[in-house]
Order: sequence, then structure tokens, then C-alpha cells
Amino acid sequence: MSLHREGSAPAEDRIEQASSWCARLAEGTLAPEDRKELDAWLASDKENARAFEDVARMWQSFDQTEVSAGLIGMRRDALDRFEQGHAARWQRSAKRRTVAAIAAGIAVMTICAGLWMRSAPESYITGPGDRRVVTLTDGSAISLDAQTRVDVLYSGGRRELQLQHGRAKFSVARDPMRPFSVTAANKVVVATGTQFSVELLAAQVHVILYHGSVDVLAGENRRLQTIGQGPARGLVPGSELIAPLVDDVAQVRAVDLSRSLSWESGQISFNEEPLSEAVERMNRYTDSPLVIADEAAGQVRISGTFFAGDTAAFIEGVTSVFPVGIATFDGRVSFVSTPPR
Amino acid sequence: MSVACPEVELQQSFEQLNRRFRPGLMVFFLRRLGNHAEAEDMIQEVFMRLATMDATRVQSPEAYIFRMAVNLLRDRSRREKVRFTHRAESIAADEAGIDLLDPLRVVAGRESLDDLATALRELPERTRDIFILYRLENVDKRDIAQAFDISLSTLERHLTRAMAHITRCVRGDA
Repeated sequence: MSLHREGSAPAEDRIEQASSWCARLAEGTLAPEDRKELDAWLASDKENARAFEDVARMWQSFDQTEVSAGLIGMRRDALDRFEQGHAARWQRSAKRRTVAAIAAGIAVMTICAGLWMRSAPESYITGPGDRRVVTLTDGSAISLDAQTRVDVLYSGGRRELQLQHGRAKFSVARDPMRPFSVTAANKVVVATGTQFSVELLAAQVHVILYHGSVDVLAGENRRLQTIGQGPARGLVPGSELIAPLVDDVAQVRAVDLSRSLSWESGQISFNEEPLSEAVERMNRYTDSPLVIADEAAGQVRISGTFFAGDTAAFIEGVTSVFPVGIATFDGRVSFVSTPPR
Repeated sequence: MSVACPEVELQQSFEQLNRRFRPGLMVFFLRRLGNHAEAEDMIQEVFMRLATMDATRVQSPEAYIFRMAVNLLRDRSRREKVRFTHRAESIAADEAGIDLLDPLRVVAGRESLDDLATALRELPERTRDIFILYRLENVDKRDIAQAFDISLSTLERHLTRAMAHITRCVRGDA
């Protein structure tokens, strides 16, 4: 690595020098003579050491997840131009090689066609009571809960998925060059190599993180504010983010990871959850959905574990423990807040 | 139920760990050791421990790494109190008010997203792209240089210029 440095530079170059040292450190261990040089530079002026610390602090600050998420627009643009550059480079080298001109020409055409063509998304759909695991071309896996639809669109530089409804768990194959994003209504979860689930309910998006890290955005460029008992810096493994569709303030709370995945083995666990959400989830496994008759009933918080699809046991369990009853309106089984006499 | 997953954030290449954490760790250790060789050894130790630990329990790699740095430093000072250099002592006195248990406050200033984004936006497009690809997207320098058809030294100049500009902006110099 060759960097341009002078022995004693004017003060305005100090930050440039500090930046250059910081960039070299970011590449790995310094050679012994460079270490001596860095030590000498740091010792020669107190301001040098301060500049060096400021640059390193700036460098480190880009590791905040909020920061890397908030810059998603600029990151996408940079990656797009990087890919265009790579494609153009193929063309440049093809021009130079006259012998293989035809073969190279075909290769370039194929690559450009691949870059320009946006294929239609692939849809994965489950019906009532179904569950399904699919493996995608890059090795990522999706586990779909019942009544779920995920659209997958892979292009050269992006892996864009859309959760249309239901719930799915994503195990993302690591590929820093192709960001993996899951959009659910107006929220976007961005990941690199990680495991998480996204669930779209009528009024909220739930994101549970199992491994790694994800950024959750409200729309394109806006950060989601988080409140609640979770760590200040947002979603960490073992926590759940609940984002209402109507605004950008999300709640983060700790979650029991294995219970949260019980749906994959056909069991549904609830822990102090509003009946309306519990019913929405249970309804994924039945052809005759349950209904909430009044708002008060929907707000009753329930706990318990039920077999997916066993609606009768769910009704019996809930009505025997919690202050709700059951009634039939227009032939539909409905929860009501006061048990009928 | 097991939720084993081989792809965790921390199982990234040594190169990426270097890129993300070496400058900050260097500042952290240099402040307290005042000696480059020893700081290098400590950083090596941090990365080695990272390679052998159970990464699934890590919640925030950044916080974890600097916590580990604090522990290493504490172990070392217990063992080798004598060898503390004059420089390290004077610096330690300087920052007696700083909580050693919160190294992120020392090394990772909580620059606001808005300031960082503004600084980035002010850069020429090419310079900004190079900084983002290198720092945030972990793309290899050679790949970036090839894609933009520039030499490695030109790329390094872009990178240095970006770093200097962003630093000046968040410092309030610009």
C-alpha cells in the first residue's frame, strides 16, 4: 500500500494523515517500520493523537445499526453503480481481446440481459392449516406458517421479499453484496446473514430476531423509533419488535425464542396477548374463522398453548379462563366480552 | 427447539473484523498502553477470542468486542502493573472521569445519523460510493478499484478524503 505522507505537515493536513493511518489500520496489522512511524507521528504532536482518535471514532460510529439502516438509499445507489461498473468492465476487457471477440460479446450480452431483465417475483403460498419450508437459490430458507404468502424477487444486486400476509421465518444466507430485505406492509426488515421471522397482522408487524442483526425501517429511509424494555439500540437476538402499521414508533421486548417458534411444529403459544391477535393467528389454521364481536373482548389478554387447527379446544380454553364468552352471529362463531346467559 | 443457524453476524472474515474494529480498538488500547506493539498484541488477542467463542450468545458485536477489550486490559494491568509506561499513566490521569466500563463512549462517539448522512451527501458521488462500499458493504478494495476502473492508490485517496471530510463535519470544523 502506498500512501502519500510528509514528515511534518501543516495542521490542515493533520486529519488527512490521521485518516490515512486509520485506513491502513483497517486493512490489518502494520509492518514493524510502519508501527514505529505511527508511534512517532502520534508522539510528535498532541493534536495528531486527537485527530487520530476523532477519525477512528467516526469510523466506529458507522457500526451503529441505526446508522447503517438510515443510509439505505445511499447504500443502494453505491451498490448499483458498483454493479454497473463491473458490467462495464467486462465490456472494456472484451474490447481488448480481439481474438475472443465473439465469445466475449455473447458473454457481455448475456450479463447485460441478466442485469436488465427483472423477472417476475416467485410466490410461495400456504393455505389454511398448511405449513411449508422452501429453500431459495442462494441457500436462504423460508419457513411459512399457514395462510401465508411470500413473494421473492432476486436480482443481480438485491434479494427483495414481500410478506403479503401471514408469518414466515427467514434464515438468510450471508451475502453482503446482495442485501436481503423483507417488506411487510409499510415496514422493511433489512438483513445480511441472520435468522428472523416477520409476521403481518391486521394492525401490526412483528419481527423476532434469532441470530445476527437486522435493521427495521419505516418505509424507504426513515428509522423506526423504538421504545420499551429492549436495549436502546433496537432489536437484538432474543427480542421481538412490534411496529404498528399506523406510525413509526415500535416497541421492543424480550421473547422466549423456542416458544415463539412453536408454530413451526404445529403449536401456537400466547403470552399475555390480546385476544384479537390470538384469534387472527388461530384463524390461519381453519376454514371457518373465528370472529371478535366487540372491541372489549378483543382486548382481553390471554395466555396458553394450543394445537394449531384445534379451534374447539382454543374456544374452550379461552372461555373457561378469561372473561369472554362465545356466541353465534350470522352463523359465525364470535367471542363476546360478557358471557351470554 | 433448536434454532441453530450457522450464519451469524460475527462469523465473518478476519478481514472484515479488521476493517470494522481495528481502528477503534487501536485508539482504545493506545490510550491506555501508549505502546503500539502491545496494542497490536491485545487486538490480536481480542480477535482470537472472538474466533473461539460461542457467537450465538452475542447480542451486539460492537459492545461485546469493546467489553472484551476492557477485560483484557484489566487482566493485563493486574499481571503487569510495573510495566505501565509514563504515557499511559498520564493519560489515565487525564481521563479519570471516564468510565472504563463504558469503552464505547470513548471509542464510538454517538454521532447522529443526520450528521453522518449530511457529511456523506456532501461528498462527490464517486468518493461517497467508495467509502460506503468499503466501510458499510465490506467490498474488497481491489473489487471496488476494478469496478470503477481506477488504481488502488486513487481509491485510497478517495477513501482518505471521505474519512477526513466526515470527521471534520462531525467535529464541527467544516
